[in-house]
Amino acid sequence: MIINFLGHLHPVFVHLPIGFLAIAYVIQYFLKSSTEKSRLIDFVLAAGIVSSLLAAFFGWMLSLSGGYEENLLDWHRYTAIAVCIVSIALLGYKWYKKEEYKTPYYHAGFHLMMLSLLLAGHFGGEMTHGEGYLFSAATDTETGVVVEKREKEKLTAASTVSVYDGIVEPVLAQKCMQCHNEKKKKGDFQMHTIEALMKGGKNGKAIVAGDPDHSEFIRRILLDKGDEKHMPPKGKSQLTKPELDILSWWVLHDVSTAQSVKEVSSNDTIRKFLSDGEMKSSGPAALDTIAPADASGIAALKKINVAVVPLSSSTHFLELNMVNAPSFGDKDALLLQKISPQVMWLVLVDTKITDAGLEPLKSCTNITRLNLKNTAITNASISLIGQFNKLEYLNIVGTKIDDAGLLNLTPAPTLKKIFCWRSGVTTNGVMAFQQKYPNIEIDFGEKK
Amino acid sequence: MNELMKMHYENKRREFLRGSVLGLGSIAMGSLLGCGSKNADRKAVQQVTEDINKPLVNPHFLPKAKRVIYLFQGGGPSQMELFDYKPMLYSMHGQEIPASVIGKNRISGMVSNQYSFPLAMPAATFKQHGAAGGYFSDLVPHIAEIADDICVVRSMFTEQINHEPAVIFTQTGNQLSGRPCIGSWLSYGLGSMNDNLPSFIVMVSKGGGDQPISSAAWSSGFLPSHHQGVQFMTGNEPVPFLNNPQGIDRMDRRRALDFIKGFNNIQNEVWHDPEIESQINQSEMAYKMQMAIPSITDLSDEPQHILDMYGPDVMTPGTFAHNCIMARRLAEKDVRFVQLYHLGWDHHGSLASGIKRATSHTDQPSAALVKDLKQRGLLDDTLVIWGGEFGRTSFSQGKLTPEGFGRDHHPGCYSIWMAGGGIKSGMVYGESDDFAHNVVKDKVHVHDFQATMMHLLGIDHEQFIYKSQGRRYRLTDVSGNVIHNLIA
Repeated sequence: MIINFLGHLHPVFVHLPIGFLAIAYVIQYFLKSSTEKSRLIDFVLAAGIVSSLLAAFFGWMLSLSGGYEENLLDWHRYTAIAVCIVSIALLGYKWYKKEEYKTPYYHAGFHLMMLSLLLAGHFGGEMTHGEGYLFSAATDTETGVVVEKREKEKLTAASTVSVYDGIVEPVLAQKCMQCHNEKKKKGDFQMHTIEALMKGGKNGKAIVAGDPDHSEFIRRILLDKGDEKHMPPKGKSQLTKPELDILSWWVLHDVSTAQSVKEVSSNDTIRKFLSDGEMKSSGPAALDTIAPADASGIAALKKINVAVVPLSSSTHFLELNMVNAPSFGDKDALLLQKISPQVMWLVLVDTKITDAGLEPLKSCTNITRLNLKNTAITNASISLIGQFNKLEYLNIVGTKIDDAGLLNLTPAPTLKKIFCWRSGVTTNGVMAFQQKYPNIEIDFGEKK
Repeated sequence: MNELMKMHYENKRREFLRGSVLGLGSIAMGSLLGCGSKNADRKAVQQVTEDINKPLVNPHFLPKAKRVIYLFQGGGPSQMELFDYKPMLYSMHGQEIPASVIGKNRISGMVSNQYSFPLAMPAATFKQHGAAGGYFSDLVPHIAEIADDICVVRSMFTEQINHEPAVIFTQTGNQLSGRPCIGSWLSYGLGSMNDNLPSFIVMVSKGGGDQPISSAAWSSGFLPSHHQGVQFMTGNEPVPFLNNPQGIDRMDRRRALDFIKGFNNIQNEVWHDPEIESQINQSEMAYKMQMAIPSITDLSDEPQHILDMYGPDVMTPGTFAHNCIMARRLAEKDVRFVQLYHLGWDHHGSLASGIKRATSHTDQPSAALVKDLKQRGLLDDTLVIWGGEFGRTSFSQGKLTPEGFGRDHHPGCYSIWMAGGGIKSGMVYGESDDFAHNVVKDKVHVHDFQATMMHLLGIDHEQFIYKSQGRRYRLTDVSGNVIHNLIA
C-alpha cells in the first residue's frame, strides 16, 4: 500500500531533476562568468541532486509494483542512477578543487551528466508512452505495434474491402491487439491475423464459425465486467455495443465467406455500424472541422433572397432555405458551388429547380437533409441523390420521381427517412423498396 | 447647434454617466478583491453588460426542430378522462380519496370547504393503442390512432392552481405576467426564416368556453416588442386591412412607408429607443404580409380529402380545426412558432358533457395536423405540443350525483403529449399514482418541459439570457433540466 503510494510520487518528482540539472548545464555554458555564477551552479546542482535522489527512490518503489517491460525498465533504472552518481561526483569534485575546478575532467563530467539525463528521460518516456513513441507517426502508440492507419470516413456502403479488413480488424486493433499481437500473446492468443484468430489460445479455439454463442471470443466480451475473465480487462477501453454487434455478426455470418462491405451493405447491422461511423464523422465533434464558407458565395445567395443560416454557432455548416426565393432556378443553383462543402441542409421546396439544376450540386457532399418537395425533379436525378453519402433525410413529396426511380436509388448508409407522398411512387414501389431496405422509414402518406 | 443635436449629446452624456458608474464600481470591486489589473476588470464588467442582450442568431448546437406548433388546451384538460388510465377510479367510485394521497397538497378555494372528497369514475373508457401499448380514452379516438407518432407525458406538474397564473407560468416561466413568452424568446433568439411572415403567430379558437385568455400569454415582455405574437383574428379576415383602400395602390403604400421610415430613422438617431426600430419593423412586416397572407389563408388549393382529415369544422374560420390547418400552412412557410389556444377545458361541473364537447372540437384536427405534417416530411423538424396549464382532481368538485360531477384544478399531476421535432415517438413517459393525483415516476416540471423544448431547438436554456432592469432573465428562470429520455 505505502509502496504503491510512494511509487505514484515518481511522476510528481521526476521532472524536477530534469529541470534543475538542465538549468545548471545552461548556466555553466551560456552565462557570462562572474563571482555569482559559481555559487549559482552549486545551488542548482545541489537542488538537482536532492530531487534526483528522491525521484530515483520513488521510481524504485514504482518499479516494485511491476507491469513494466523489463528491458526498458533496466535501461531507465541504470541511466537514472548514472545521473545521480555523476551529478554528485561533479559537485564533490567542484568543491574539492575550490577555485581551480574548471579542468577538462569537470567539463567531461558535466557533459556525461547531461547525456545520461537525456537517456534516462527518453527511456522513461518510452515506458509511459510506448516504445518508439518519439519517432512514430504511424505507430499505434499504446501497443507499439505498427498498424496501418485507416481513415474511418472512407469506409462506405460502396467499399469493396472485406468485412474483416474494413470493419472487424480495425475494431480488434483498437480494443484487443494491445495484448494479443505479434509480440505479446496474453493467454497464448494472438489476433493480428485472421489465421491467428482462428487458431485460438491456451483455452482452445476462440471462434466457432457461425456460432457466436459457443465462441469463447464473444463469450469473454459478454461476461460481466467484474468477472476476471471479462475482455477487454478492467481499466482498458471497452467495446461499444455496435462494435460487439458487428463482431457477433461477423462470427455468425462471415468468418468463412469473407464478403465485401458492399455485398452486405444492406444488412441492418452493417448499415447501423456504418451510419454510426458517419454520425461520428458528421456529429458534433466533426462539426467544427469545416472551414468557414466563402463570404462572396454567401453574399451572392443572399442577394437572391436565399436564407443562408449556420446550423449552430459552433459550426460553419449551413442550412440553405429558399422560402423567400420561390423563383430560385437552375442557373441560381450554380451559386451553391462556391460554398458546396458547407451545405448540410438544403431546402429547395417550391422552387423552379429541375434535374439539370441539381447536377452541379453533386459537389455538396456533406448534405444530410435534402428537401425537394413540389419541384420538377424526376428519376433522372436519382443517381445523383444516391451520391450524397451522408444523407439522412430525403423529401421527394410532390416530385415526378416514381417507382422505377425509387428502386434505382442506392441510399446512403446513413439514410433514415424518405417522404414520397404525392410523387409518382406507388404502394408497390414502397413495398419493394422496404423489402430491400427495411431500416429506412419510408412515408407514403396513405394509410397502410 | 440645433435642438436635436443637443438632445443627441445629452444622450451621449447619459451613456457616459452609465459607463463611468459601472467603471467606478468595477474599480471598487477590483480593489476589494485586491487585484491589480483594474482596467481588465472594468473591461470585463462592461463586456458582460454589453454582450448580454444580443440575440443568439444561431442555435448553440445542432437543432432537431426548426419550428414549433403549440396546441394549447386552456382550462386544464382532465388527465383521467384522456391519457392517464386509472382502473382504481372505476372500482372506488364514490369512495373518499385516501387522505394519504392528498397529503399536504394544495387544493383550491373552490373545494376547500368540502367535507367530502368522493372519487369520480372517469367519464370515458380506455383501450391500449400503438406499439408502446399506451392507454387512450374513447374520447380521443383520432389521437389514439397516431399513438405511434406521439409521446405522452403523464408526469407533468406545475406550481400554479389558477388559470391565469398557470397559463402565464407555462408560457413565460413565471406566474406573474410581464415576462416574454416562449414564442417571443424564440423569435428574438432565432429570428425568422421567412422574411414575409411574422416569426410568431397566435390563433385563439372562437367560442371555446368560459375562461378567457389574456394577451399577456403572447407578450414579448421586456424583449423588443416586434417579437410579441401576431394574433390572427377569428373572422373571415384573419388579418384586417390587407387590401389597400380604393385609390391607393401598392406603390403609393411603399412611398408612404419609405417617407415615414425616414422620419422614424431621424428619431431613432436621436433617441436610440429600440421601440422605434420595432415600429419600423412592424410597418415593414405589415407591408409584406399584405402580399403573403392571402396565399396562406386561401384554403381553395387544399384537396377535399385533406380537408376531410381535419373534420367538418375546417372551413369555418375561428374553429380549432381551421386554425390547425392554418398552422400547417404556416409551418410549411417556415414560420418559427405557431401558438394555438383552444379554451373550454375547465369542467368544474357536468364534466361528461363538457369534455365530450371539447374533444369533439380538438381530437380530430389535432391528430390530422400531426398526420398531415408527417406525410409532408415536416413533422421531422416541427415540434408539436398538445397540453394545458394543469390537470384536474380525481375527486369530485361538489357532490357526486347520478346526474354527473365536476373536477377541480389540479397542479400536482397532468398529461400532455408531444410529437416530431426530435421527440421520441410511440412512447409513454412518466407515471402517476393510482388516483392520478401525484407523480410517482419521472417527474416533469414546467421548467423541465421548457428546457427540453429549447434543447430540441438547439438552445441551451441556461445560456439564453436577457438582462432587463438590472436582472438577468431566462425562460426557465433559475431552474429546469433537459429531459434527455424524451429526446430521440
